[in-house]
Amino acid sequence: MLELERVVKHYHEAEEEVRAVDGVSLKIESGELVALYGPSGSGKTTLLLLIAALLKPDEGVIRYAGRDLSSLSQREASEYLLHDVGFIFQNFHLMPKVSALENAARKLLLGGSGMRQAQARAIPWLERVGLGDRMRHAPEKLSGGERQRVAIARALAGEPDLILADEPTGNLDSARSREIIELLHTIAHERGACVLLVTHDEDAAAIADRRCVLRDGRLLESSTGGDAREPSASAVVAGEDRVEAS
Amino acid sequence: MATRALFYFYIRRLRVHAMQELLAGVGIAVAVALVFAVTVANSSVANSARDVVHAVIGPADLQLHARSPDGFDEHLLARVERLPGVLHAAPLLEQTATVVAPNGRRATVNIAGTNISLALLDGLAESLPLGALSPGGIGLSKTSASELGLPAFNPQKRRVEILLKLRGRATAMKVSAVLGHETAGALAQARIAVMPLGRLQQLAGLKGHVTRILVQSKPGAETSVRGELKALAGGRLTVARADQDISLLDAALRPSNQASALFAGLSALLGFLFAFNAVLLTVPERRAAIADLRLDGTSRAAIVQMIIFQALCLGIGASVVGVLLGDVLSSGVFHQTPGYLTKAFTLGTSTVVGVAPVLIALGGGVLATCLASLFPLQDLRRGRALDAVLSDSGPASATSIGARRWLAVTTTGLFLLATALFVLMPSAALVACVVLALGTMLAVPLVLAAVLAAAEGLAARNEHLTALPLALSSLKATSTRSLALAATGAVALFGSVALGSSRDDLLRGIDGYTGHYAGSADVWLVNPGDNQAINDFSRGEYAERASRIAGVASVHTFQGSFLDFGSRRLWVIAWPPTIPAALLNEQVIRGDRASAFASLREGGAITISDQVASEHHVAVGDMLSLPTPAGDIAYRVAATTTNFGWTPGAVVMSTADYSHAWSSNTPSAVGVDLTTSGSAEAVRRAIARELGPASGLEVLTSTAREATIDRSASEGLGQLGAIATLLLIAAILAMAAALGSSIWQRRASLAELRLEGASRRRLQLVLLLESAVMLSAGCLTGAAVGVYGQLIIDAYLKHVTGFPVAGVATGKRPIEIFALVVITVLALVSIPGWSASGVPARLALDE
Ligand SMILES: Nc1ncnc2c1ncn2[C@@H]1O[C@H](COP(=O)(O)OP(=O)(O)OP(=O)(O)O)[C@@H](O)[C@H]1O
Ligand SMILES: [Mg+2]
Repeated sequence: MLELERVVKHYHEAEEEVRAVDGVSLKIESGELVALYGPSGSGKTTLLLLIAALLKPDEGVIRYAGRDLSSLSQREASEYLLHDVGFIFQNFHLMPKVSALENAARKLLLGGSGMRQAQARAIPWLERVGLGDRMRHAPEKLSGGERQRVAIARALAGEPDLILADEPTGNLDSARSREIIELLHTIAHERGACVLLVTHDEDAAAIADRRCVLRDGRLLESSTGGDAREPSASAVVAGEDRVEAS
Repeated sequence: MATRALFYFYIRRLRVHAMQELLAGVGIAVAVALVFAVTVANSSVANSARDVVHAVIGPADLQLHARSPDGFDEHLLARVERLPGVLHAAPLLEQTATVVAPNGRRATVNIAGTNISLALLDGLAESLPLGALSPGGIGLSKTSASELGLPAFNPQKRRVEILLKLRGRATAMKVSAVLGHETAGALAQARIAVMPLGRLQQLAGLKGHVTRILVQSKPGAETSVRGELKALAGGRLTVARADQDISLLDAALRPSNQASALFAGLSALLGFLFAFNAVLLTVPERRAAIADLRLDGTSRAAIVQMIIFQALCLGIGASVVGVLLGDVLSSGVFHQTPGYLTKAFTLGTSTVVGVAPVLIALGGGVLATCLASLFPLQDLRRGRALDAVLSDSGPASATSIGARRWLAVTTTGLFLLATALFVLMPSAALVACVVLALGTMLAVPLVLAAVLAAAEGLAARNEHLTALPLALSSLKATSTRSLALAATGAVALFGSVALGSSRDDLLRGIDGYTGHYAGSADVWLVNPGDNQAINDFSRGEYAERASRIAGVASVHTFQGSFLDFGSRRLWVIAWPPTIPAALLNEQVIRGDRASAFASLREGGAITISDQVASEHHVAVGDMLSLPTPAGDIAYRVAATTTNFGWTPGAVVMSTADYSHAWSSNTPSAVGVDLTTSGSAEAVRRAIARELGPASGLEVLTSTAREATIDRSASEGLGQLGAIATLLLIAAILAMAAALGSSIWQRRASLAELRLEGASRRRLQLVLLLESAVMLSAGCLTGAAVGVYGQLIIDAYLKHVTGFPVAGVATGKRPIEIFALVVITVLALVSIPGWSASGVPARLALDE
């Protein structure tokens, strides 16, 4: 279970102060898929980085499974990132010139699996994101969407309990993107993982259990119902139906 | 493109890639320093000796030179002065002596006895202090004085007494002057001493004798004076140009110069390869920068201009630093002159730097930088702007089968070429070695691919090796860099192993000879520091006195001196016929050792260094005429030998023949054999007691004598050692800089691993594995080919320079060097490695 309490993160850049995250409180239960959206520059990526302990909040507390993330040592933060978090980055961070399979297995290797075991565990995930026939390709020889899917497979292969997805479907067509969101949804429900999904895609957001809007670093809490700008409850129900149907 | 814009782009590059540029600069500077230092080292000795010789002879153009150290009658001077074409003539008695200072320090000096006529002749009369030639004292050059630990002092005010050991006699005397540069010119920096002629004659027991008369002929009269001098010499003295010592020294230095030229040339070329690789390391990011510019629509011409401009900035900056560094090195490491030559020549000690080394080092550094910088331009040719952004398939990558085949064929071709050169032209060793070095570099991609494949197989089979696959992926992701690095390692090891091991072989060869030579007697009596036994004892009774000591079974007298023969100052070794000529063991090149010794014992026969024999076109069994003090005498050549470590060459004859030709029975060394019950050390002490301090002789056990000879021989080859060491240091530094630079460049990809939660420990392990894989692939290749290089250099040293060289030992030297380099480099880069492993994950996000 993930819990944020009045989290603040400001950037200072040449006299200018950017209030990237400005007092966000949020709770995500295990098994919940939360969609986060908001205009560009509203602080979504920053929030995800804070949750991944890649950034330290200026104020406020972030707790995961009862642990306060700011109290983690550097080493514990690494462990947390490696074993608990699956981060799907906005710009992939793939290793050039090595195959999609090696890229997808990288995190497992880091976690201490042997090469064979790591690859054996990564292959099903590549297949699930539809890259079964591209496993030997290096990132330079993949399309943007394919690269994005390698990054997704890599984040998911370790079966993390907290998935932070930063616009994972930004480069995908709508059918493919629905598949991915549904995959995340299944993972949340079946394994009881917390999933925080940043997306601009209304359709995709419709599948989420809950939607939040971030604007100028502030969270306009929404929950399943929500106010004017939020998607309708029916869309959520429809989304859930679809997941259950598939 | 405007100059302003060029500067703008370069400064921008510096801002972004300051570290890479710095480390590339360090790599180039180290290489240039190496090139500069070795080139300087190679030319210094001869240059400074030239100054000294000219300071002694002044305007004199001719000389009458004794063929034996005992000299000739000084009355000849008056007859020379009376010759019609002679303007001035000055007598000179030269002896080699050991001076012992009150503080116990000692120095071997060339001591010259002369009178005011020499000072008048060479123009020093005005400046030379009166005390220098005052009776009862000795004048020391500033270099001799400082070697004795005597600070500058005023002899009028302070009395300093030294002990002079000369021809088997020790005499105490006061220092009458210290000759600095202002009074004695270039002589100040030579290891010399002066005293009045009469006094030296008396001390040396050579009353009325001189060894040289310097002659200044009247303008245009040189030829006629030469003829007249020849008539006076009567075939027993040498008439030569006054500056003949310079050409003799050149000849003496030639073999060791050839050897160090080979070492220096090879080191220099390897240095350029280091510089080249250092720049190659920065190629990937240069390519990315070019691609960016092309996306912005920059013209090709502008890009080419920019690349060349940046290469020039880096190349010139780093090379200038390198030359300064090299200057420090050359004065620190190469300052000492070969001490063993001081016995035969008056040498200067200063380092004379010409323009050539500066130009070679600067030009080479800049050229290597520019050449390596041109690699990224191939992206322009292909006309695919985006290629470089998307891939890191660098110029040196050997991923395609075609490229590998090409490399394999070329490498094999180069190795075959080197072998052909080795077999057909041993004198072209430098070319063969350079061909080998290039072959080594080209072999690296193949070896690295093989090592990677092997490591991959290992990682696939062994599930416990979790860091290895990570290291392998990042190696694959940065192929150009890995290759440049492995190539640096290969070149470094190739050079270090080839040079280091050849030098070892050479020293072992010399050691083999000294072992046999010094082992020919159990205890030795020689003049102090006279390793070659060329200075006579002034009195002969020492041998007889030694023979009366208890524990002594027999006593043998050895003789010897230098003999100027053509352009060579040969070392004449007179061997007593009573004991086997063990010194010939392993040294005979042509002929048979046993029969050669039999001929020597019979008399009328000599062995001579192979180089000298072939210079005079004589074969074993032929007659060769030597210019002895008794006139020209023809000897039968019983065998040809190595040079026994004496570069101009050596002659071995029996003491009987020597005594006849030199008309002298005085020994220059006495060898004592012990009875079975005698202990060498006890007998040594007994003999030293019997002779007393007044003899000025040194009594040494055979092991002690062997050690002193070895020390002086390795000093003579010190340059080779210094060059080999310098190359090793440069290699380690170049590799550390290269590896440091590649680790620095890896920070971004390390940050990505951290983004996924890799611990610092794990990153360190990954980095260590990566470095180890690259280093071992490169270094193993280099070390293996280095052994082949060693063979080539050995052959060169033996057949071209005439040094005794032991056979190539399948020794542990290459392994030692390999371990030394790899461990040192890994230790050196552990610091940047440690700091890079702490790279914040944010770095990956900021890109
Ligand atoms: N390292 C940084 N230093 C200074 N300011 C930053 C930094 N990173 C982000 N910002 C600023 O913080 C604000 C929030 O950035 P963030 O990346 O979180 O936005 P976002 O919601 O993810 O936007 P997008 O949808 O475009 O990805 C932006 O205004 C950005 O300019
Ligand atoms: Mg973002």
